Amino acid sequence: MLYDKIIAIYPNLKPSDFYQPNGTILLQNDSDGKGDYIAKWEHPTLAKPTAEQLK
Amino acid sequence: MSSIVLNGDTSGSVTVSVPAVSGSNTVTIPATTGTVMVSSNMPAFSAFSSSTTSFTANTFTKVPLQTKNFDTNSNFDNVTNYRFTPTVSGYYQFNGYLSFSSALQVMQLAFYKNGSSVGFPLQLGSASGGYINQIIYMNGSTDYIELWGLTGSTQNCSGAFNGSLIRTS
Repeated sequence: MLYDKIIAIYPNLKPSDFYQPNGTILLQNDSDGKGDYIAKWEHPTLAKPTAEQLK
Repeated sequence: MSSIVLNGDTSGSVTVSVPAVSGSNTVTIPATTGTVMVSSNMPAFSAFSSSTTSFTANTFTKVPLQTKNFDTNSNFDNVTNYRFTPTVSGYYQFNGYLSFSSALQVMQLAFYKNGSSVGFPLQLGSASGGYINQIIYMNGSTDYIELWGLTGSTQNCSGAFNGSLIRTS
């Protein structure tokens, strides 16, 4: 799962980083069978993971 | 039954009819400009999840709503996008409900209009279910509304969503 992969890359991220509207990261799933995706990544210090990292 | 027929300037007509029943009744039209609402131009819908769906932790997920209780104007898509796209503009009252299989984590609920949350999501701590209610303007052509939710741990979710036009633009 995308969330677990992101936490594995950045273990210091907290759940509140994903809660809206104040969380700087927004993961979404459109329930269209295409799975989870990063809708917003505005973390002040951590770079958005690359596709390679998320494999 | 007595009727009054009002013909349009170029075509069409509106017939105002009074049923043949006993008694005397009064309809008062307010001394202001506006649109008279009748049942056929006041869309209403009600839909719910026919089965639970697994929501991934901390991931906002659109709630699948596969079954309709009613959809008076055929404006709710319960097959592909699980969204309401009303064809009459105005202010709609929307009500959403989410139920999760456990109450171990935070949950958030939100209406998404045209792909973005309308205002702040409702956040509940250690809740297994919650309601959200909002009055939202819809333009009657391209605007659509969906029910989304988030849970702090991966678990199953089901929901219900309903709404109705409460006044015109």
